Amino acid sequence: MRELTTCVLLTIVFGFLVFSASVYAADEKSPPGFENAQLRLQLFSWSTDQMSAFFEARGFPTAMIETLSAYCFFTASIKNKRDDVLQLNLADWRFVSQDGELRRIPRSQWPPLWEAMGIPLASQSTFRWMLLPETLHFYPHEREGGNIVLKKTSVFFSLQARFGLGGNTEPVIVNVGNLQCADVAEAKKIP
Amino acid sequence: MKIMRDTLGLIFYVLASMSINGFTWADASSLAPVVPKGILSIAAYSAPPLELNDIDGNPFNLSQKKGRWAFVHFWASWCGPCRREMPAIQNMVEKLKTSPLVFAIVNTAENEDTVFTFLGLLAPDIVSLMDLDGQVTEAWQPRGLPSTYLVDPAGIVRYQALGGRPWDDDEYLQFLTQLSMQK
Repeated sequence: MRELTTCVLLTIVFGFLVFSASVYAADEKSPPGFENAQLRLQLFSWSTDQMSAFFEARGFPTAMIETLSAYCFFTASIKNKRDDVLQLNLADWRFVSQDGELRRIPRSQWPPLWEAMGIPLASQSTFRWMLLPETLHFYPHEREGGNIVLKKTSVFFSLQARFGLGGNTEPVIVNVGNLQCADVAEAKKIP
Repeated sequence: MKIMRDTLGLIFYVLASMSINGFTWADASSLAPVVPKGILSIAAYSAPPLELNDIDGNPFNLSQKKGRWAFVHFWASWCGPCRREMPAIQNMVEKLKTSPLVFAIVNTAENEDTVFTFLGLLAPDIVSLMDLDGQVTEAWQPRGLPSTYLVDPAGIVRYQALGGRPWDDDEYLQFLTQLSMQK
């Protein structure tokens, strides 16, 4: 009986430790984002090294990777938590720093650049599918994601975004602060 | 005697269950399929062209498959949900291999080495079509990857799946089975 009790107690203590560790890890690693009853938005930043390695592994031309390394990449993951449609329109997104608004590179600006550089269609296609759509009506409980490309900056910035709910319903206003390009965040860790 | 009674009881239970669910294989084709979660009945439109070679070099043309429902799926190895979904697709294809459903599983803009390695690890029985330059996928304009469409026997897109789905779950298998038997 005593052995059984000891075993149960050890299990509880071990479970508590694992739970505490996982909560701690989640807090440590949680990406910047926003969540309310309507939607969840998370932003994951990519360093130049991560981005280059990813594209190199997929056979992207060196010139394309070098061009992309001048930009700041975020992957946005968005989940519509509503039982109704949620409207994404990147024209309603603003990335703002103390120096003013950051320039986001819209999807339409890439194809002419890639054409001029002679980038193969396959690489153009993969890059395009990895971008977050400029507009999208999220169906109830739909989750979609994709990349956002910004002009690189060394300062903190914030996202101010608006998601439409259709009809006369007030849009969801989203604010995410303390955003940084991954390279800047990495550089600050190096003494 | 007890074995016989138990067996009869079991048969009665199975038949009763089937009649409660309103389903027998004989009338599967006449039932309106129950659409599982995450699959949308959409405004009908003609399926864009889908003419590609598979990874073994065999040609495939969706327009030549009219008269049967088609499961058209777009994927890429870099897409996380595709990675999670592909084993379920392989199971589904295996379980429905005797159904008349046409499978068109299309890799978007990757080369044979990437596709071979990816499928070798996750779904070795899948024979993917190769959209090497991504232009067929472009014409279909999926919402994102992965993306799945269900095309009716007349070549009209009728359903779209949102993101990755557990295609080998019973409700999806039953839906696809019933759909494939509709003319």
